[in-house]
Parts: sequence; C-alpha cells; structure tokens
Amino acid sequence: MLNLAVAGLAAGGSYALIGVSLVLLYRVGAVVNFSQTFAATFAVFAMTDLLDKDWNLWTAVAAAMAIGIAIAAAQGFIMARLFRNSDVLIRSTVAMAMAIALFGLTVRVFHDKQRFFPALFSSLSRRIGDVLVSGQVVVALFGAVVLSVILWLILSYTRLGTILRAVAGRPVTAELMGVRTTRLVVLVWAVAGALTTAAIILVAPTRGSIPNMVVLVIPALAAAVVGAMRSFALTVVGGLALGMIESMALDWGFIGNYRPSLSFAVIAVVLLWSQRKETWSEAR
Amino acid sequence: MVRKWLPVLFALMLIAAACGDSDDDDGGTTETTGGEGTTETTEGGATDTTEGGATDTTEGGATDTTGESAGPAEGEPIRLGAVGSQSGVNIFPEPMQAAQAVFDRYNEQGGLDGRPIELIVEDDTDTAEGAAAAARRLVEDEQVLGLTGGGSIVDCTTNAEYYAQQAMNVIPGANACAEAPTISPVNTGPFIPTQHMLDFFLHDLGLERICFSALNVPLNDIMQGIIVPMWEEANGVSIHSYILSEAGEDLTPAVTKAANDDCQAVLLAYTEPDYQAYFQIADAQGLTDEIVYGMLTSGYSLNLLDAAGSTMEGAYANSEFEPFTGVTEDSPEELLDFIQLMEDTDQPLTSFGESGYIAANIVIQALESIEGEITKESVNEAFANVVYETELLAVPFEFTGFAPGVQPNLASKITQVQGDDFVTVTDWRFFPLEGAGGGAPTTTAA
Amino acid sequence: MKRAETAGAGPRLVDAMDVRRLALPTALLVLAVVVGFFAPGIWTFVATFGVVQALLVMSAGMLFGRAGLLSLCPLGFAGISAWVILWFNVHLRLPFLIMLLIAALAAVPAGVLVGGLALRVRGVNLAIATLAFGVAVASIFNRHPFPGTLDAVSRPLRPIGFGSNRMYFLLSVAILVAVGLALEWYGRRRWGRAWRAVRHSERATAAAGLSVPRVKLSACMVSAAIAGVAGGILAGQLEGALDVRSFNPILSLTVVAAAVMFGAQSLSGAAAAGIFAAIIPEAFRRFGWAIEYPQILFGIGAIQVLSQGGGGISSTFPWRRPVRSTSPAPTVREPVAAEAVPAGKGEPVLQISDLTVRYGSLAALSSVSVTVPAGTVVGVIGPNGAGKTTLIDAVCGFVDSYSGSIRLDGKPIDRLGATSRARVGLRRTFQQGRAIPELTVGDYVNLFVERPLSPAELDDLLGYFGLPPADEPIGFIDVGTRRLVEVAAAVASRPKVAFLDEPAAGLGGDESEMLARRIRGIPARFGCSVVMIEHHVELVVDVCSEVTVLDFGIVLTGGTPEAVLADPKVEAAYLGTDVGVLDDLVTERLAGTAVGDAGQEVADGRKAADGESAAAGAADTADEIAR
Repeated sequence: MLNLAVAGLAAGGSYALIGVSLVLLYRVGAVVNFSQTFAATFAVFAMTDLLDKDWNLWTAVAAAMAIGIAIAAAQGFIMARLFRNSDVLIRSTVAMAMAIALFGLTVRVFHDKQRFFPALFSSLSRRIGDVLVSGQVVVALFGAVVLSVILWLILSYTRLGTILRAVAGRPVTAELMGVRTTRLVVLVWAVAGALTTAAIILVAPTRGSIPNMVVLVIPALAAAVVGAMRSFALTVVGGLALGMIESMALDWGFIGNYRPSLSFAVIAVVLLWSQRKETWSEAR
Repeated sequence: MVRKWLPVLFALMLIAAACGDSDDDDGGTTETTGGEGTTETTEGGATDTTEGGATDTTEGGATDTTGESAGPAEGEPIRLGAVGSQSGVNIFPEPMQAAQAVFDRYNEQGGLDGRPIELIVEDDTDTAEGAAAAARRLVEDEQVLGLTGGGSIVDCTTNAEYYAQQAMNVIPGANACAEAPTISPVNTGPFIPTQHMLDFFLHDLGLERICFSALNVPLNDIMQGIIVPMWEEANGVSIHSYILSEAGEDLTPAVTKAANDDCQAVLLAYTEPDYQAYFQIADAQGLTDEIVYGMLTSGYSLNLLDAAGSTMEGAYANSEFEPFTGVTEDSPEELLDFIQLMEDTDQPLTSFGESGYIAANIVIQALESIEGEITKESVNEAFANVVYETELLAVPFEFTGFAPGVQPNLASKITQVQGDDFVTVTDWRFFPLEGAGGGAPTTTAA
Repeated sequence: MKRAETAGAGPRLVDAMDVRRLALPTALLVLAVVVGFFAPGIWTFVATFGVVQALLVMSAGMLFGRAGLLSLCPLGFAGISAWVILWFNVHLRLPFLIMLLIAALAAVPAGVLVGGLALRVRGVNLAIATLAFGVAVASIFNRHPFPGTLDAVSRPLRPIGFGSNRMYFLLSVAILVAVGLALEWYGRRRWGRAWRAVRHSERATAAAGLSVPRVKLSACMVSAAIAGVAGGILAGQLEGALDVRSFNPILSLTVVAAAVMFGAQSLSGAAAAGIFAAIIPEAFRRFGWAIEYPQILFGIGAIQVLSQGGGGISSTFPWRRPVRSTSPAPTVREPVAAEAVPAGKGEPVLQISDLTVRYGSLAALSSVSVTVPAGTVVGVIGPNGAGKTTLIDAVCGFVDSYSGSIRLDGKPIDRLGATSRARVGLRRTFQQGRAIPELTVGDYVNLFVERPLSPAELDDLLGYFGLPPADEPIGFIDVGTRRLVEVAAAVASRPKVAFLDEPAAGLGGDESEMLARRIRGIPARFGCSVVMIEHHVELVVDVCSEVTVLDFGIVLTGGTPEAVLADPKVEAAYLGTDVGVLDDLVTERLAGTAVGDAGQEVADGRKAADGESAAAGAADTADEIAR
C-alpha cells in the first residue's frame, strides 16, 4: 500500500505543479485555463526535435522553457487585449478554443514518430520504502512546494501582489490608477506557462505522447478545486493526494477499474461540501 | 473587420470544395522514394525461394512473367485503397508507407502488364467516424478495386460489416478486431502474440508467477475475458495479477504494483510510447534485473530501442514475422530485401512496416494470378483465394477472415533485447487455439 | 399557435411570428433534401455527422445560453444513449425511433446528476466538475465496451426504408428539426422561460414562485436528452460500430466552444454549427490538408467570435434580433380609489414578531415587529444600512436562518422556503432591478403567474401601471420603467402581500406621482397589501397608511406618516442633527400645499447623502488597492 502511495507521487507531483499554475491564473487572470498543458506540450515536443539535432541537453531544455513561456505570453496578450471585460465563463471558453487550436498545431507539427524524452535529474533520485522516487519527481515535488510558498508570499505580502489582485478584481479601476494591466496579465500567463512547461518536461519521459500530456490538465483541475481555486497549499496537497489515491486504487479491486472517475469523485465531493451553504447565486 | 470577411472566406472555401474533383489526394501519405537503386540489390540475390506456382515478385525483372521488359509502368492504373491511421492518437503510418514502397518499385519495373498499381490512402484520423468515412470514400467515391495495406485499430471494428456488405475482401497490413469475415490482416493484433509470450514465460523460462499489465481499451475485454482464460485453462495456471492502466496515465503505479505483487514475469500489452515510459520507470526502480518483461509486437521496434536505450535490456519482444534484427548474409532473401527497401526509402524498421510489405506482396501475387479482366469482382476473388508463401511468415498466408480461433497468422518468434539490438531467441512457435494447446511448442534457441 | 398564447399581439403580428418561427426549420428541411438528393453519396454520409454535431452543440448551447449553466459533458450524455441504444439493438430490437427515444431518456438520469450538482456548484466550478464527469463516463465505456461492437454479427440499426446514407441523412435532419421545434415550444412555456430567469438571477426566480432546483434540473435533463438523441443517431450512422474514442471528453471542449461561438440556444445556431462542422473538415480534406488545420482554424475562429461579445454568431441572424413592439400601448387606466389612503380593516394579513437576523456577530435585524393589516399600504423607511432590505429578505425566505416568527393570515410560515412563500402569496421586487432583458414584458409577467394571463388581462395590468405593450422586449425599456414592470409582475398573481423595494428609484417627479396613485390603488384593485421601502419621502407620505422606521436593525418608531416624520428621532437618524428640512416638509404636507419645492430639497439632501456614500465607497476601494 505504501509503495503504491509513493508511486503515486510521480503523477501527484505533476498535478500539484500544474494545479498551482491554474490557481495562479484563476486568481490573477480570472480564467480557468483549460489550455494550460497544451502550450507546454508543444514546447516539450519542440525540445525533442532539437535534441534530435544534437543540441546540448540543457540548452534544449532552456529552449523548451522559452517556447512554452512565449506561447503562454501570447495567450495572455490575447486575453488581456480582447477579453478584458469579459466574464470568467467567456474567458474560460476562450481558453478551450485555444486548447483546441494548440492541440491541432502540436499534432500537425510533431505527431509523426516516436520521440525520445530525456530524464533529467537522475542523480536526485531517492528511495522511499521499496520504491525509487525518480529525480524528476523529486524536483517536481520540491518545486511545487517551494513555488506555491513563493507565490503565496508574493500575492499576499508584496506590492506587486496587491496590484495583481487589484487587476483581477477591478481591472478598469486599476487601469485608471496607472497600472499597466496588459503587461501584468502577460507576465502572469508567462509565469504560469513556465511552471507548466517545467512540469511537463519533468514528467515527459513517463508520458510519451501528446494526448497523455495534455490530459494532465484534468487532474490538475481537480487539485485546483481542492484548493478552492485560491489556496496554493491546498492545491499541492490535493494534487499529491489525488495522485496517491489513483495509484493505491490499483489494489482496490473493483474501484481500480474506474480510476479516471476518481478525479470526478474528488471534485464533486469537495465542491458539494464547500458550496453546501450557497443557496443562492447572488449575495443579495 | 476580419469578422466581416470570415463568412466570405468560408463561402469561397465551400464553393471550391464543392467543385473539387473526387479523384484526388493520397490523403497525406508521405511520398516514398521508389529509387532506381532498389532493382539492383534485389536482382543480385534473387532466387525463387517459394514453392508452388507463385513466383516471388520482389525480384522484379529477374523472373518477370509479364513478358515486358523492365521500365516504368504507364498504363491505366490499377487503383487500390488503404485505410490507415495517419493522424490522431494511435497512428500507424508504417504499413502504408511500406506497401507504397513495394508498389512504387513494382511500378518502376513495369507493373502489371504495364499498368501501375496506385495506392490511395485515406486517413481515418483514429476515430470511428473517420474510419467509416474513409472506407466509404474509397469504395464509393474513389471506387477502388480492392483494399490493402492499411494500418489502423479502428478500421476493422468500424468497417467489418461495411466491407462484407460491399463484397470487399480486405488484406490490411495491420488491423486488430474481434471478428470480421472479410478482413484478413497480415498483422492480426494482440491476441496471438499474447499467448505466445505467456507460453514462452511458462514453458521456456519456467516462470509461474506471470502478471498481465495492459492498457484499458475495449479490445482488452476480449483479452482478459476470453483469450487469457483460454490459455490459463489450457495450461493449468492462472495469471498471478492483472494490472490495468488507463490511457494517458502515469505508469509508475503499474510498475510498482508488479513488483509489489511479486511477479516473476510481466506481459506488457501497451503501445510504443508507453513501452518507453514503462521501461524508463522500471529501470530506474532497478526492477529490470529482478523481473522478466515481455512485450507484444508493437514493442519490436528499433525506433523504440533507440529511444529507450539500455532501459530495455533483457526484455523480450514478440515478432509475428521473420525478425529483421540480427540479420546475416544467411538470412532469408526476402528479409534482406525488406530491410534494403526500407533503408532505400528512408523508413524505420518496424514490425508494422513489415506487415505492410508482406501485404503488398500478397496483393501483387493475387493480381498477377487474375486471368481476364481486372475488375472489382476479379480482384476481390483473387484476394480471397490467394495463397502466399514467404519466409517472412511461418505458414503461407491464406485469406481466412478474422474470428476467435480463426486467424491467418498463428505463429511468432520471440526476440530479446541484447545490447543495442534484438536477438532472436526462438524458432517459429505455433499455437493451435482450439483445444489441445498444452504442450510446449517446437522451439529451438537461436 | 393560438392567438391566446401570443400575449398582447395583434393578428398581423401573430402571422408574422408564425412565419418567422417556421421559416428556418422549413429552410433546413429543404436544404437537406437538396443535399440529400443532389450531392454525391459521400457528402450525405459526412453530412450526417454534422447533424450529430448540431444536436450536441444544441445540448450545450441551450444549457448555457438559456440557463447559464456551463456544462462540459455533452459527449458523456451522448455516449450513455449510444450505449443504451446498442444494448437494445442487441438484446431487444424495437423500431428505431422507439429505441432512440428510450436511449435519449436513458441519458436523463445523468442530466439529473449534473442538475443536482448545479444546485450548489456554479460557474466555472460546474464546468470543471462536468468535464471530470465526462472523463468518468468515458472510462466506464472503456471497461464496458459498447454492446455488439466486438463481434461480427450484423445487426441493422437504421430503420427500414432509411437504410441508405441519403435516407438516413434526411431522417436525421428531420429529427434535428423536430428536436429544435420541441425545444422552441418548451422554451415558450413558463418553465422554459424560467431557464432565462435562473440565468439572470436565482433569487428573482424564486420570488416568482418558481422552484430554482426544478428549473435547473429541467434544463439539465432536457440538455441530456438532446445530447442523447445525438448519440443515438451516431450509433445508427455507424451501424453500431461505435468506438469509445468518439466520446473523448476533450471533444466536449470543441462542442462547448462551438455552442458559445455560435450562440446555439436554438435550432438556428445549432444548425449553423452543424453545417460548419460537416463542411469545413471535408473541404479541407479535399484540398489535401490534414485534419488538424480545421481544428486550428476553429480555435482561432472561436476566439475571434467570442471577442466580439454578444450572443455568438446566431444572435446576428435577422430573425433572432429582438424587435420593438408595434402594438398600441395599453390604455392607461386610473386607479379606482383616487385619493383616499386606504385604511386597514380586519385581521392583519402579515404578522412579523420579534424578528432577529444575524450575520455572524452582526445583528442586521433585532427584535423587529411589524404588523401589516389587510388591504393597506405600509411603508418601511430608514437610512441606508438600516436593515430594510434584510427585512424583506427574511420575510420572503431569502435568509438562511432567523429567530422570531412570521405569520401569514395567522399561520406561521417560518418553515417555508422562498419559493413556497412566493406561492402562498408573498411577492417582492428587488432593490437592484431584476427584470430580464431578453424577455418581453408579457413573457416576463407571465413568469409570475401559474396560469398565463389572457391578452385582455395583461393589457389591463400593463395599462394600470402605464407600461409599454406586452410584446415589447424589456431590453428596450429604460431602467425606471423596468422597475415598474417588476412591480406589475409582483402583483399579477394577486398575492397576499407585495413587498416593493424602492419602486420609485429612477423615476422623475411626475412619474413618481403617478406611481403613488397606482400603489395606493393596489389593495383595492388587486386585493393585496403592500409593504413599500422607499426613500422618496413624499411618496411614502402620499401612499402609506402607516410607516415603520428602522435604524441599525431595530424599529425606531411606527405610526402614521405624519407622526413618524415629526418624530425627532427619525430626523436625527436620517439627517444627523439638521432637522430643519424635514420640519418644513411636514409643515407643508400638513398645510396641504404642493410638495414640489420641499420634495426637491429633500431630493437634494438625498443626493448629497448618496454622493457621500459613493465617495466613501471609492475611498474604500482605493484603500484596498493601496494596502
């Protein structure tokens, strides 16, 4: 049981890291970014092309990060300019449209042969119980925790964080106060893109194909829901917990056959519980 | 402003599309270079290695029964179709590309009575809708005379009934389904290789705690529900543990569970990308030294080996055809020809490619056996009656259709990853499916 | 379409609307016949997939466009129906249309599940939850393959006579049109229009006597059924050879994006989406371009359309644009009882005793007791934040818990929820206007009554309040008049008590006066008492027979308007220490002179007060940002 739980940290780490990006974008960008993993997948596949051309490993990784950030920043730019006044549902629908376009683009450009995804950080592997937690997973876990703390600190205690929250809550007012909302929104999308690209790079060796990577957005959303789309800490906890539960479910016989339903179960339980008192949609 | 022009743009596209001809594209198949260089190597070593009336047509000009001298065929094309997954989740471009290479070369050498074989490939986009549309386009729109060479998971399940209705006897390169009377693929999917690998574990390696780790796909219902129990009963053992992974899932839990459950051997029923991921994890965990892993035919791929590197060391892979690794000068001529052709046309060496190559050759022989006019009826009749002998298969290929217990190719060889190559470790193993399947099949270590 | 159902429209307009409503479906059928018989066979085959897509888009589009629920699992619903129809085809063959109906109904429980979620889970949370639900459903299909797909037994699914691609295409178009018309029909019923109400405001929906859970559930169930029809048609299209990957949850993203992009609330948007879905990929394919290019193009196109705002592509269609009414305005009627302020008679219709409402440690209301006699107009006044609206909220059932008791006609109603209280006769309007812009005046009013008002009754009601004709879309009406529409709707069902929350806000002097007369006449005309919150002091004085003053959640005083306004406590509560203005007003009133100047002064005073609070609000925001 313990072994399977530890084995689940691999997936859980990626859920946590991507979940944190989702929460960041929701809090500051007022959007549920269904396309979160799609740009990152494109970047990671581009990396394999560069590796094929015998680029140095870390240069290729850096290039992948740059590409992921660039695409995310472009998405943010479109959001900031064209959808400044839209509500969160419309923006989230736009994110869906972006996901579709990015998916088509990635498949078109890269889906012609099996690709080789390098395993980074192998020296950092650690053994817990009988299971070896690979270096990537260690970095992902560590990164998720550290980054969520950093982001929390920035958003809650720095001036930048306050400005970001103002942009999210009252974009027009913030503009009138001289805040350059477009730049900030692009910045936040870029940061979220960087986090997600890093996450996908780390899990790429165990994922292998385009659909397997983009589908990560769904359990990451579950993690973000556990964090109530607000708390980075709870998102990390939720992501890890979900990964471990999914893994342990392999031993749970009948339930193990329906493991993809676990994301839904978690989401439904968490939401119904947290929203149980919300009888009405409006405050008054 | 852009918005105003969008409808106009769409309207123009509609009109253009409506006026578009129906005799069109190859749907995006990569153009394979049918090179001139190929004829030389095949002629060099060409001898008739088959028995019976069939001539080995890969030799091109050497035993040319058409009576024409070698030169590119320029007559009226013989139009054949192929349904393949070229886009989508599970793509199999290799069978079509290999078949195309064979046909290209055949056409270069004069074709059939001066008529080239034209292969029209339709992409099924790995969806049932796409497969249904692709089949209908080929049969009704393009009006191809026969169907061959395709590679797809969805084609068989979606179109089995349609093909039967249309009296098309299809010889794809690789298809997988449960039942289809008028489809006889060269590569028949996972059922036979599974049993061979299980057999190998039990009888050759003497391992009893065998685990079954697979992707949760609908076909797995038959695997786990019918095929494996059949094997279990015939051999008096039961699978130690079932481990099902969802598509897109991280495989660490699956790898861990196999170790947890104390498996001695694990049969891995996955696709190429998943194999790479699996071995990455298993190797990192140090499990490849403790557990014996066996892959199905999709794992028998040099591309995969290249990508996976040393993580796959010691793993076994099933090959339904003559393995194309570890070849020497004494290897069968056809195998050398296949390897050379793939090299010349810049294609990777895969089992799926081999299936397309064989399928194309079967078709050529069938076509050449037609006396009289080449029509849809005569082509399909020829397909139904063809008996193709080749060293690449253990037994001659016959058109049997697809049903539990009835499949064209029942044999396999087992290979093992040693160093940077696959080494064949057994001879042809045969597997009767009904009844007495108990005893150890004939095998010699290579 | 009987004339009686088209509230307030003249005969010409009825015919025009009939033609408009049927024009599109007829055009679609004609187009289908043309395509079906003149296009090459493969086009009809591909076109049927477009019909399936149109139904899926309609399912998501009506749920979002009408009810405001963003649900990302249309393919999950479709998959369930496809599974069921195949099961029947294997085990219990019935006529195709019957099996299709059963299959569509089989998706409804899944709709109930989503609807149940939607009772508490809203907005993006619902979107995420339904996406995960789609994943769960797809994983079940992986484990339990579609019946009959893994053997080669030939089981015809298409109905006899419709087996060919052409005929099946025509059949599916006919089904699409039928579903679209059914949706349109239900959408014009009270419970169909209620979807729009829920989208707009759940509280307002309950206040109309409509059960919000029932409305949401019905919307989700209808959406599931429509998607179920799509699944059934797809099963027939593929002759039972379905594959689980056709129901991949990621495809639901495409469906929903298309639904929003095309504004597919009804047949026209859905059909447009379906046509594009059928034609574009096929056109690209003919050009030799890979399948991914339409995907990319679609994504870009959707972003483009969504950036335009509005209701998507279909809202630009001429027949979907709201049209101003051309009917004559309802005859303005004067109230019967012109002058006299109605006096209370008999038993109190509403008894509020010792009402206390707490939000955390803050007491919004403390031991408030108010008695509303039958047939009167009672005023509730007090400064901002006194708890007036909270009082209405509590009495009408919009507060989670309170202590004290409320009796209607002597019977306690504390256990009743908001919808039930509305149904037993407590109606209200809202401080922020909650009239629904997409509906016409008549449609909106009819939301509030069980049995739709006849055109004559409607004309009567609207004329009484001096409102535009019944077929005028509320979106064209100014804010002040919209509040009057709400008032009309509140009294339309002849409730026992109508709570009016600042009905005169946004009205000028003359209109206020007219409104005063109307409200005074409500008890006589509609048989109900009125409780009115107002800041227009002269309105209160003109209309109410008694007034209760609240401040900081307690009853400051009560009595006749003159007595209350003369009370120094009231002046102090409103104006601080400056009592001069109110003194003048009361003097003028008692002297019977015109209210004009004093009213203006009071209005100025109010504006000053409002200005203060607005400035305070801005300062708060600035503080937050600076912090």
